[in-house]
Order: sequence, then C-alpha cells, then structure tokens
Amino acid sequence: MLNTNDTREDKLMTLKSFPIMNIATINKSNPLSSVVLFYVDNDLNFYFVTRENSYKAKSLLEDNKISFSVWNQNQMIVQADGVASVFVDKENKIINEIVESLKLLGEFWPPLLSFSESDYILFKIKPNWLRALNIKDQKIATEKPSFTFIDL
Amino acid sequence: MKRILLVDDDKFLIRVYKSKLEARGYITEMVEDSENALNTAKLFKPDFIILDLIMPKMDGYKVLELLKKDVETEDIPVFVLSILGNEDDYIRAAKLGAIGCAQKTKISFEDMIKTIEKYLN
Repeated sequence: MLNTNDTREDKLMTLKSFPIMNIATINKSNPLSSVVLFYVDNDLNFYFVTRENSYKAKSLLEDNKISFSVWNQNQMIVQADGVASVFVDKENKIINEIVESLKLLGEFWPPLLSFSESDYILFKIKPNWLRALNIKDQKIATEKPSFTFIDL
Repeated sequence: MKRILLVDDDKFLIRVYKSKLEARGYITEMVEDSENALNTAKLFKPDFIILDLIMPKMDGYKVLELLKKDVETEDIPVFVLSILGNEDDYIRAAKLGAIGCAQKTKISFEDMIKTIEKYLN
C-alpha cells in the first residue's frame, strides 16, 4: 500500500497492479473518452491495443495528443498527458505483457476481443508529465490536492 | 494435466485463451501460423484442439483435413471456433471430423470451458 514517502518505483508497481485506464483523445475537434487495457514499462511508457478501425485509433492517427488517468481503488490516482504513436511489436512482447496483466482481473474477458472486424493496432504513449495522488493518505480535508509529479 | 492446442491467427485472442486456460490448469500450446498446426500437434500431443477457420495461408478446413488424415492426430478431438456463423460451414467442418463448432461472437469463455471439459472428462 502506498504512503507519502513512496518512491517512483513504488508508484510504478502500483500502476502495474491495475491494468485499466481511461484515455481521452481528440476526435475531429471533439473530446473522446475510452477505457483500455494497458501495460506500463519501467520507463513509464504506456501501451494499449485497440482495433485499427476504432474511433480512438482513428482519432490518434489524426492527432496524437492524449491524456489519461488510472484509478486504483483506495491506493492512487494517476493523471498524465502525452503523445501516442503506433508501436511495432515484432516479437509480440507488449501484447504478451498486456495479456499477462489480464491475470490481475480474474475472469474478465476484454470486450476488445469481441470486435474482430479489423486488425489490432498497438499504441505507445510517452507522457509529457505524470502525477499521482495518494488516496490512502488523504485526510478528511486538505488545503489543496497533494498530487506529486513522477519523474519521467 | 490435459493439453490443449490452440490454432488461431488472432494474436491477441490466442494469447488470452492460452492465459485463461492455463489459469484453469490446462497445459497449452499455440499456433498462429496454420501451416505449423499439424507438426505442432504431432510434437505437442494435445488432448484437445481449438481451431479457427479463417486463417491466411491454410484455412481451418485444410488443417482439420490434415489432422484427421494423419494416424498420429486423427483421434484428437477438434473443436472449431470461428467468426463464421453459416450452418454450411459447420456441416463441412463436422464432415471433416470436428466434434463441434461455435461462433466466436456467440459463445462465452465459460461455455467454451464447459465444452472442453465435456470432451476431456
């Protein structure tokens, strides 16, 4: 469980413990929000897979700006924004990591698998900034949210 | 422990199947390139095969035909799982020796497990 003295590695471990995040993209000047499975590497690059013909894929191919948040119950909220790029995963290492992270979700069957009308596309998100709020340590009231920025 | 061979070119789906079947205690092997299905079946010696129909290079019908023509693999139960929902496709697969067929969009993972257990027990 996180506390106020948690290091970057502690925060990374918390991020690795819950593989679902919410992303926001720009779809023809309109905001678009989606929920995706993700994998985060040790350099705090985030990866997610979607279908080539999904709205989020098309919007990111038009405009690569992205923001996202991860909410890990009773532990941590993470917010970030950055840029997304198509990632070529020749040896399927990232796909394997995403599938591995699914084990954390028990019997969950990803909706992504139900939509098979096009091929997959894998995106890598390189954050511009990333900050975390420790929920566990929050008092009843604070003067301002105690987000801490995580070194990239 | 029972062994299951997965043959599907969907690189994400096949890995999710593998992960979830292993969590249920099965030993699994996956083949993404259908041309390797027969040789892998001979080496891996599965108790059950889950086979996709629509694949590049060699489709599931051809793989099924080869499996059923080879003395080393002819008795392995093969369950066809496909995006196709046409009855003619299922009849064709059954004639080639499939023990059952299901449409990917209509079967849940739990139902898939029940089907596997029915044939393995």
